[in-house]
Amino acid sequence: MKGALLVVLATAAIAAAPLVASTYHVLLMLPFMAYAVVLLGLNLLLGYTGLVSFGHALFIGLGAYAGAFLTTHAQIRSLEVILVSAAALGALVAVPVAALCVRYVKIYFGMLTLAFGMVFYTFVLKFYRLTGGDEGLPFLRPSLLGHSLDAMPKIDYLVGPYYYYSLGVLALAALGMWRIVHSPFGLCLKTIRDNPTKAETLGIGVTRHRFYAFVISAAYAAVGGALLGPPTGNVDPTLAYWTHSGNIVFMTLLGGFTNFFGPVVGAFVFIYLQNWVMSIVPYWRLIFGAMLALIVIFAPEGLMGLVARRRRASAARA
Amino acid sequence: MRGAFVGALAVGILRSIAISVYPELEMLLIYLIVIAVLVVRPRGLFGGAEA
Repeated sequence: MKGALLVVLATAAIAAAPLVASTYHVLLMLPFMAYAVVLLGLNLLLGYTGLVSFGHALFIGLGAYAGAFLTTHAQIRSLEVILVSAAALGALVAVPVAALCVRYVKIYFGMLTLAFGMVFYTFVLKFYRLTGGDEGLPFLRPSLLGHSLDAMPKIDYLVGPYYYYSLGVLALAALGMWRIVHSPFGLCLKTIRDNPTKAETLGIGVTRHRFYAFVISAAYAAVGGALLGPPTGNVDPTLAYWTHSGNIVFMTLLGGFTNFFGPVVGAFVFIYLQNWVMSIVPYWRLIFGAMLALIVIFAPEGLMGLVARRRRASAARA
Repeated sequence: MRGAFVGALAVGILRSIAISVYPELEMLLIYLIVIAVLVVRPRGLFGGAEA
């Protein structure tokens, strides 16, 4: 009950942010919401199924490039169409990738997803006639719910309609993921994570369930990737680079993969912390690397894990 | 030892061939090799059964 109240309060705070916060900080919320969608999907694989993917930037890139391609080459500007096609394309590409990857676990799974991610990165980088190479593709301003907003100044568009559209997509994505992880299917995934042998004995198709989880998480990543496009107005191959896959795994660890909202919190803290650290020192990777090491050693369940630990401790005292 | 030697040689030669045949493929090739090895022989060319 208390959790639901917190979620409602957090959503209300995000919705009220454009009214009170500076435009600069509101603009930073846009990548946060896009990454939150990506991470909800990634965590179905990482937190609930126990498979660490180092190649999810493939699907982020795929979604972003799908949107850029549709707006520039196909003259399709409706964001609804873009998001649905991104999800469909992400799931479609994930089918062969997942079919090969879910045969393995742990480091082999990670290496294979990494290799597929880099294949896509190289494809985007080298086949410039289709993808624009390292210059990328422009992501023209999409229309929202059938309204073309081309006449609006860019900042007004981003902190106004686009902001609330992203929030709506994030809310829908979170609702959908909540239903998935609390369904019998989600329980099967948790059983597989905790004990694959037992899951198989109970009659759960381990490989099949891992496959479905992979495909769903890929569709989520593609939708999040498509949402990343409009704020910058351009997509480039670094979206699909392996360090980007690493970043999203870092966000998940930072927020805590054992909690449903952990990755969302992780994305928020990552974006604002990165922005803050970058404004002070140019060596933000050094600081973030040290932070990652500290999290893994002292708080393996991330920020939400720390909150839960404190709550347990205070409950024990009472 | 033998595995690392043969692996390095194979990757090096294949990359050189790719450069002369179809340069766009050169960067892609190394990842395709990784995928092929992981899918077909996850323990590597000379890897035996699990110890």
